[in-house]
Amino acid sequence: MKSDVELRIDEVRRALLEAVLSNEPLTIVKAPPGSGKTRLTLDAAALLLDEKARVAIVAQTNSQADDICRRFVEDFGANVVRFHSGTGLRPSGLPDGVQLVSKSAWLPTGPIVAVGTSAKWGLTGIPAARFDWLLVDEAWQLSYADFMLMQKVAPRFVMVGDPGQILPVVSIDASRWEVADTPPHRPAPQILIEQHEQTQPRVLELPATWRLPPDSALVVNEFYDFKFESAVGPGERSFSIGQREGKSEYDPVIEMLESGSMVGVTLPTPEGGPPLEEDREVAVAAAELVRRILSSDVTLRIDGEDRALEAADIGMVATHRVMNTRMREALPPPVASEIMVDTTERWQGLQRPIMIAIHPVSGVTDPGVFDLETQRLCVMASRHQIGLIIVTRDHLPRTLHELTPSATQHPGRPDASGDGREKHEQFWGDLERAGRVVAL
Amino acid sequence: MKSRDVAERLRAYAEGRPLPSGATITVPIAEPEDRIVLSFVRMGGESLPWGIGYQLGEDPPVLLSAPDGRQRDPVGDMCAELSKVLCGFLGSPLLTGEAVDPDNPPPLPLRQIWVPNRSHIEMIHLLNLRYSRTQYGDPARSLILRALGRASGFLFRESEREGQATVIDASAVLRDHFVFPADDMRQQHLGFLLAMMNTDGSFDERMQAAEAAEEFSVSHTLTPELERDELSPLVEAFNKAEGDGGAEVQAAASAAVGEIIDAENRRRIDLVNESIALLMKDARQENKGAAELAEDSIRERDCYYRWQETTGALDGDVLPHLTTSALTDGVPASASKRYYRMLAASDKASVCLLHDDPELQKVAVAEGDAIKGTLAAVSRAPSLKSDSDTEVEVWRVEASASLPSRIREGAKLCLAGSPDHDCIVTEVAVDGETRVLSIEPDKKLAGSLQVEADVLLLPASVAFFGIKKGKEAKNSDGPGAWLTHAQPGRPRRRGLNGPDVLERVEELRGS
Repeated sequence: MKSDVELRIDEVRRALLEAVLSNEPLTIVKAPPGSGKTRLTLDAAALLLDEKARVAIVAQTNSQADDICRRFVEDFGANVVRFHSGTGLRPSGLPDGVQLVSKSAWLPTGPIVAVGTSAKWGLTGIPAARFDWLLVDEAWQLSYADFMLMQKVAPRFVMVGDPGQILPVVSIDASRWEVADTPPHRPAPQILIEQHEQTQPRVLELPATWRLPPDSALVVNEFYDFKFESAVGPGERSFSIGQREGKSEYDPVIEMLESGSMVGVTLPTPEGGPPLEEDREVAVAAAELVRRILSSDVTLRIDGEDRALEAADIGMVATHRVMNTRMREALPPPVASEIMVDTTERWQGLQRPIMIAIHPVSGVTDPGVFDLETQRLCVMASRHQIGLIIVTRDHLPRTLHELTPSATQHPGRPDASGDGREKHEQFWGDLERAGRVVAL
Repeated sequence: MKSRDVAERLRAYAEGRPLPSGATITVPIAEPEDRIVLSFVRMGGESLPWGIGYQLGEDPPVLLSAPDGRQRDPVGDMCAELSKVLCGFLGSPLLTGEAVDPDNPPPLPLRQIWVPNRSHIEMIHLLNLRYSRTQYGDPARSLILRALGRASGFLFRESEREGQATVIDASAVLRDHFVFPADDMRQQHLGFLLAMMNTDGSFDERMQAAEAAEEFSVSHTLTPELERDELSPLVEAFNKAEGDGGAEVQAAASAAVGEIIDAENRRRIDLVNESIALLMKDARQENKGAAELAEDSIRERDCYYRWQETTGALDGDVLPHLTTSALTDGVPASASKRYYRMLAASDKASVCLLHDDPELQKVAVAEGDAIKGTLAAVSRAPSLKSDSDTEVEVWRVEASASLPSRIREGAKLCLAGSPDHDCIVTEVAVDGETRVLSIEPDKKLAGSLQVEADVLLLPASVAFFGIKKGKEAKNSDGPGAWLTHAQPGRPRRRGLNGPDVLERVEELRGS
């Protein structure tokens, strides 16, 4: 018997599949984190293949492309083409049923599903046998400039993505194009939706996340312009502490994960201000939290099944690489290699039962646009299935409250700094008001 | 500010003087005859120059001014004078009447426009906006002014391309090559920077000289007191005399205004010349990569300025559709093409200077973009690259794991000093305090290193991809172009391949 939320998810899935069957030329699906985006893309690909169509799938990284191939073969038992770079590393570890092709001329004719990165599709020559459909996974990471290069592939588009994810990486000053009709550096689906009068997309919204627990979904939803909830039912997820030795100042923090999924932890800000970029004390505190969790005989319940927590169930994230390095150094050596410690960008698309995050504004006393962008915080706050602990210096609420964001808003564009400050403040305020911030 | 920059600035404070930053001079400096120093002064509230100063090579400076910066004709005359010099300097045959084949123009070396600071580049932008499409006044003059508008547009756009060597902001160049013991705001002032550099003695003595230099404006605006107390009465007298028919009074007022404004521009030009001299006598060598950046600047100028001008010269003027917008790129394909070219230029600028500058290399290692380690082992194994199935040399490089790293599997690196031979990272692992990389080097590098050799691997340039994508972005002949390349403001479904449903039903009706 499906729950109400599952039925609503099915409605969206059905709407997408009917849209592609009726040859709708542009469908955009807005999806919250952990809502089954890739599954949706694969569903559409399988159905179209069954209709004898030629389907191109665009992934944003090689590992995402490999993952899509793997899942397509596993889920549908059908063959798939991995269209890959001729000069980079050859994809490896893919199951039988995945055919590797590096030149467009070698792509099979007839109905196929071919998966490649946006860079590969963008730089390749026009295939002799063009495709009928282009399905874009993680579409909010595809810049409009990269999207333009897809013109040669197919006439119909399905774009599935998470609008809360980090915007496409821009390594130059792109302010020149901020007010252009089609800013090349901004996410393609965002522009296509903004220009809906011309593009007439069918826009669908997935209404639930399978990953986040209900209380987390409520907080994370603040970062989005559409409503979603958690599809996790009561009692399906839990964090239980067993026998542990002695006492630790981190125990009150860890114990809070038994009653809710998000906890904030503050360390006092040193007189004279926090250290710039590299805050060893915060990194050590994050690592100590991991050490204590691992020695607390924790039992996790995921989807109704209990099991003992292992080191690989924990992930750590910070926006700066130097902080990730310091956290990794501070981890106990036996588990350091089992725990993924990486930047927010690298965590996109991934999840762990327990996440430890360094707040992106910790140590930043004069936040700029980069610091106030909500996407990093949103990604950090949406990787966990059971519990998230966010560590920061205690100047954070004061810094956010007293900040007057600089006027960097471009005409007709959203106020990234002002909105970002407000959402950051709201996020931390939600934790404080719920009594879920512990001062160390 | 990054912690490394803070540390460097504190060191400069501790030493009480500016300290060199980087081991090489990273900006190419053109020959004197290929340099123009350009300076502007404007009246408060106005967007066009009140006075222009320029100096071509070692010629004496030419100083132009209008009696009243609000009067468009005298200002237009002054700008037309600048146009004749600037457009010819940049290789436009439009105003010289020289017959040039657009696709095969005579070679022109790197030509540079040096300005005191960023505000003068903003004035160049304003000239572009004001004059690119002007039809005002005498047709011969408006043609010359349109040429200035286009040249200014090219210069402004080019000034925003990373690594370009055509428009040089003298104060930015000094900041790039020295660490000053001063806050960011004060470092915008060229006079301040030069006084800090050129004054001998203690920090206090240098600061005293710098503060004195700060009293005089170097931007395109004048010191308010000077404008209010000295210039305003003269302008008023000039305008009053115009109504009264006092030609002599007008001439006297105009000369007095000119004297003040000329002195202002002369001082700015002198400061720029001082900056050039300072860089030229610097003991540091010019970075070998700077020559590559100079070549790119020549190519960019010839492609995005000279070609249009020479084409236009054949018709007597440049057609409006060839006048690129100064603000943005209205057409999606143009915006994307330009965006990719800017990305490529940024990559090129950051990568090509690295190979010849140990200081920049240290920064790249500290940032995690490069890796410094030891070649721990060399073995042979089947290639993991897509285009090869032969056995190849594999390097095992070990480095400290205490530094951050953004190098992942699949990353392309190159050995310091060998930018043309890529090494591909096939595996990255952290073993305790050691970061271990498996690397498949370009076959030309096989056997080039001995075990235990120090290895410095720098990021390989990916500028090629940016250029290629930029070219691809212009193509709109594919089935998806109806959506990707449609002009803003126009319906996009009209061009979708396959008949419209109404057309289909009409066809059915007909059959």
